[in-house]
Amino acid sequence: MSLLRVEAVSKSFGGLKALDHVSLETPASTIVGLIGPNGSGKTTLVNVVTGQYPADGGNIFFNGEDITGLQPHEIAHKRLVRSFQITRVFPKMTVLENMLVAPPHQTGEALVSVFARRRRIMSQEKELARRALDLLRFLEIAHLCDEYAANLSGGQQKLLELGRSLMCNPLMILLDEPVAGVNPTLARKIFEKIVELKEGGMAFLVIEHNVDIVMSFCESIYVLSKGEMVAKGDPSQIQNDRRVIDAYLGG
Amino acid sequence: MVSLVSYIADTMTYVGIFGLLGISLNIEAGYTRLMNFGKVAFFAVGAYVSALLTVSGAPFLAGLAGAMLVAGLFGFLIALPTLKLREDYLAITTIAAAEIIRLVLLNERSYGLGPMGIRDIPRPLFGVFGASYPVAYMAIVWACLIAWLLVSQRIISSPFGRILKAIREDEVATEALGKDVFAFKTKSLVLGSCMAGAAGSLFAHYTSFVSPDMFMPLLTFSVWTMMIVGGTANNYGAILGALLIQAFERSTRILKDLVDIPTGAQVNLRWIVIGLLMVIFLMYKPQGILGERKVRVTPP
Repeated sequence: MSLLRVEAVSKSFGGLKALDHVSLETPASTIVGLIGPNGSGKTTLVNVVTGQYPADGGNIFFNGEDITGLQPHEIAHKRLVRSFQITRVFPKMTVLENMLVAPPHQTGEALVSVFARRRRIMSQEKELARRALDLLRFLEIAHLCDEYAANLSGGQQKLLELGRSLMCNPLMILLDEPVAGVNPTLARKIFEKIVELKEGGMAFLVIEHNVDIVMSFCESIYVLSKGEMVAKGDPSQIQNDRRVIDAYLGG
Repeated sequence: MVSLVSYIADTMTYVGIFGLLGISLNIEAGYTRLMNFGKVAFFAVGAYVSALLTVSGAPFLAGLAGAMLVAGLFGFLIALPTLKLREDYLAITTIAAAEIIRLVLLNERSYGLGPMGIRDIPRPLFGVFGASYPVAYMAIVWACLIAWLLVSQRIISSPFGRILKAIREDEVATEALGKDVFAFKTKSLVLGSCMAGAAGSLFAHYTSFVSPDMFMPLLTFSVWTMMIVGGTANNYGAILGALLIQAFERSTRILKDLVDIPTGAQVNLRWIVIGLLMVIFLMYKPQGILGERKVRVTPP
């Protein structure tokens, strides 16, 4: 049973067909890779799945529900969250504040509750802060909790973005180049964390350019080229697939 | 002696009214990055609603409540078409909305509106205090200011306020984390508008006269300068800014009697200096004098 099912999704920008009947399935508790040359539509697919762009056609199902056409914030509430290719932390908020924005259904999000249910908000804040710190410890950036996110290095910001996504209690995270611009040691470490989370039952769809990383961490791989899904399979199949080599080398 | 006390009370009354406007702009612009360049419209709506209600016999508190309600509603109406726009477009549409309001107040002749304004707006408790009225009214204004300050501080330090800040920092990311950005922005604008409405009401009952030419666009920029100088995203900064700008405006009014400046240049020179202040702060100290305070969460 697949957790995320994308069925024949299309998306055009003017005359450009960014996605042409793209289909994809990811089961729970796996890491699925999504690769393809620049401009092949990988980020567009993530944007369509998470509702940033409306799809022109096709359907998207998540956890047994049709989520086609929902707003981004509604999709996040279905426990499908994403990270961004260019990190989008909240720069002038501390690391801990960044984490605490994310949890869904906080009592203190409603203006009336801010005044009427103070005690409940305080106890909830305490509990959420504890969970945030646990996650930050897991990601090894807990010592930075009072630092403005802007002062973190690129790799630390990637970790923070991952931690923030985790605060949404996701079933699945779409990671758009989670280690772009991160040094190789930290990049491997980030992926080791992702594997650990996967073993805990979470699913990941990862856009990644680093072939070594994709081959060693992803269980199955989809290949996009010019808006079309040209191949799928396990790493060894993909490595020897003629269409993949053509897509990358321009055959 | 009495006149000096009255003068200080008068100054502090204006500081209080502008402090309210500053905090209300801070909620919108400082915390949520809603570039509201039509602040004066919400101030005007509050002033007029309160004036019309009390002139036709309603008590002051009803006028104040009505001012907040209608200004808030006006904020909601502005929010619907504009808050899905990018921030620079919001700035333009709010300037336009403010001018539309002013021109309506100027040209509409029913309900006692029009260029002559509304006079004889009742001053609350005037009979009770008599000669010490300026001090009493200052106390009323500052009580309102402190009440709104406490409300704002509570909101800003809540999870709701944290989401406003997140929207300011990155709207797309906030939406992706499951927050209904449009709803939060609307609430922020309504809240700021209610507060500006309260400031308008307090202003109308103090001057006891309102007319459309009191609500020119320059007033909006005055409030922006107060926020930028005092400290963006810091409510105490907004009050400090109101105090500094009021002190500046009043001292130059006295100064012009002592220094020889050509008559036409006096008012303009003041605006030039205020404009310069704004530019200098934006370039060299964009966080303002007080600036935003870091939120430290005590580890559990």
